[in-house]
Amino acid sequence: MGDQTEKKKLSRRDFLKMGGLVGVATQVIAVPALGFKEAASKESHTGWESFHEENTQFFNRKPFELKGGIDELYEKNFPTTGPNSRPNQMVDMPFVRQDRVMGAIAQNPEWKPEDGREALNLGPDLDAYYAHYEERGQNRFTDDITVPTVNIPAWVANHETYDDHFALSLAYFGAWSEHAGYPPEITEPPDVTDYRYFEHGHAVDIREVNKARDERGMRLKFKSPEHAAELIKKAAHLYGASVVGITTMDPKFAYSSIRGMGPSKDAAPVEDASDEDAAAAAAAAAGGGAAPEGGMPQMGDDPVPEHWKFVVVLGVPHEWEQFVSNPQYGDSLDAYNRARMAGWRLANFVKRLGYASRWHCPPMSYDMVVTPFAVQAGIGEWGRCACVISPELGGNVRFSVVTTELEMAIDQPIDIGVTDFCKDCKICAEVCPSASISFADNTEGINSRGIEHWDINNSTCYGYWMESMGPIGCRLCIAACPYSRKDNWVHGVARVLDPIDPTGLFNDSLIWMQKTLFDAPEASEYKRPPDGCFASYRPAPDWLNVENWFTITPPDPHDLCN
Amino acid sequence: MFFGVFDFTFVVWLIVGAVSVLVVMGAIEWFKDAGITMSWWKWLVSVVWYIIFLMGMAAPFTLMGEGEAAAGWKMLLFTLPVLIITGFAVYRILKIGTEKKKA
Repeated sequence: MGDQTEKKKLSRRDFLKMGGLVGVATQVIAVPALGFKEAASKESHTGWESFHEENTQFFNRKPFELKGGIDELYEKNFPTTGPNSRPNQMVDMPFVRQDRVMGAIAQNPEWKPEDGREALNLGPDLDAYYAHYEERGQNRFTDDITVPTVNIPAWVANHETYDDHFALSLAYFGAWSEHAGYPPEITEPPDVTDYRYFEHGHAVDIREVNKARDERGMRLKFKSPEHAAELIKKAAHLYGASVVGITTMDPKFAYSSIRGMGPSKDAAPVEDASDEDAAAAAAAAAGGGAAPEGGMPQMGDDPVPEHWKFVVVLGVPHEWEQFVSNPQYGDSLDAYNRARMAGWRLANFVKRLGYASRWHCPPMSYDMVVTPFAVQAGIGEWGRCACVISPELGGNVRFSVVTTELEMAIDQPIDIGVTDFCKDCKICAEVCPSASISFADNTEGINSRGIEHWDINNSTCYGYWMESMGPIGCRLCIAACPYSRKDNWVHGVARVLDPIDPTGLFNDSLIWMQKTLFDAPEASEYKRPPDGCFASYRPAPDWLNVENWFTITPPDPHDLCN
Repeated sequence: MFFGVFDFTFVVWLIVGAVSVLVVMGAIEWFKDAGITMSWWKWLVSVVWYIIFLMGMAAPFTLMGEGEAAAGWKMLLFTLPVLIITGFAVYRILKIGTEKKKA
């Protein structure tokens, strides 16, 4: 009897021991499998989960808000190095700048590069711009004339050879571009457009609507700025924004020419370049202007409308599969146009509540530089690649903006450690095929318009746009950024632990892991032959590979690397 | 999805949770067999190591799932030896009080 009891006890123990082993085996197989499944799910494509805020803006920013708000942000991260001046599209945008330079060259057919830029009489605004960067050791004038004279002819020839390989990418993004100009560009002043919406094709002035509501005692006054902020953010998400933040207007980041205002619409060529006053006047009419002492030149210097008190910033990501196959298979147009629609819808929503507002949307329909406002609104931090790096989307985010008179509770800028991370990481600078991103250890000496911050050489950057294959552009820096990762638990752990680690060890470990584990082509491989082979950061997704769908086998530029 | 109508993930997590009971019950018996006397801090060390072990196994496969297969395999080659070595270290720690009692 005693022996039988002992046998039973032993049997139970053995059962539990074997059960324990089976349990461990089950968990060892199941947990990694679940991790695999979660990561493979399209629901991990941050910003594409749904349009509800808790799904796309899931990072709790509260613990990382700067206590000193916007003042602390600028004191700490963007110190003032000289007089501030407003950005000027006529010189800051490489496309516009190069058009002006090439126009000047066309007017001076005898001009040779060795004559120098001074011989072209580009105007005081461009001269000041180029001189500023020459002081920083960059010859952006040479970079600018290289694009149309060297890059574009080679680009055209390479497209003739390789376009068939990129036929699907070109078709996909070409379709996005169909409505790149919709809604149509604003051509009337803010006093008109910001107070008007259209109902069944008829213009409605919100001042009249408000007047009628006042008479009924039904004016839509919010209970509090907090109520206003909550509702506007809710609507912004539902209109298509993945991340939303609210801040106040700072006129120094508004373009010196406001859409629908100013003389820039009547741009005049420089008739007599030998007459300095006439040239300056013509340049001013063309959008240039006298440079403030020590600062960059002004454009139209249009006043920033007083009713632009608050700024809502809406962020939208690129589709992730094509995003990681940049620079050859991706494009900016998908996120641009989703952001454009979201911004336009939100501005109209705010107007219909009775508050003046204006949309500012990609590709180029802006009255301001967006990055500072996105940083102020706590969407992310200013990264080495001069892009906003957000906790949810990394650098994979494109913005639209709504400026409005509606008073809302504002968000605070955040410090999640991006600034420190960027100082050590430098991956974007390492992969950049045009060497446009600085390798400097910090932003000292890197400044524009009187503010110190990371910036890039947008002349050489744009030069590479005119070198890459497939749809236009590059986006490699944001694709390679360690913060540009999907929404799965591994990256979630990194998102949570990195900002709260005071030792910096986690920061260093992440950089080490990124550089050790994640292979990427060398910077030169992204270039055109013979220097490179039009490499991509990651291969094209199956759905953008023409050979998977069609009966053709076009020349593949990547074969040049094999 | 299961037959296209049911998300099987929930059931798998349910099973993973349920077998945790077996894992703990089995561990008690294995520790008894090894002559290890468990205290609260030894249980804490064991549980923490086991969670890290599971996460260390899951992380590489998560990278593979998101399309970074090369990074996943490299990570597995790195984490597996680390987990095994730390496993032995934890086992030595669990033995600490036991050896004294035997003496």
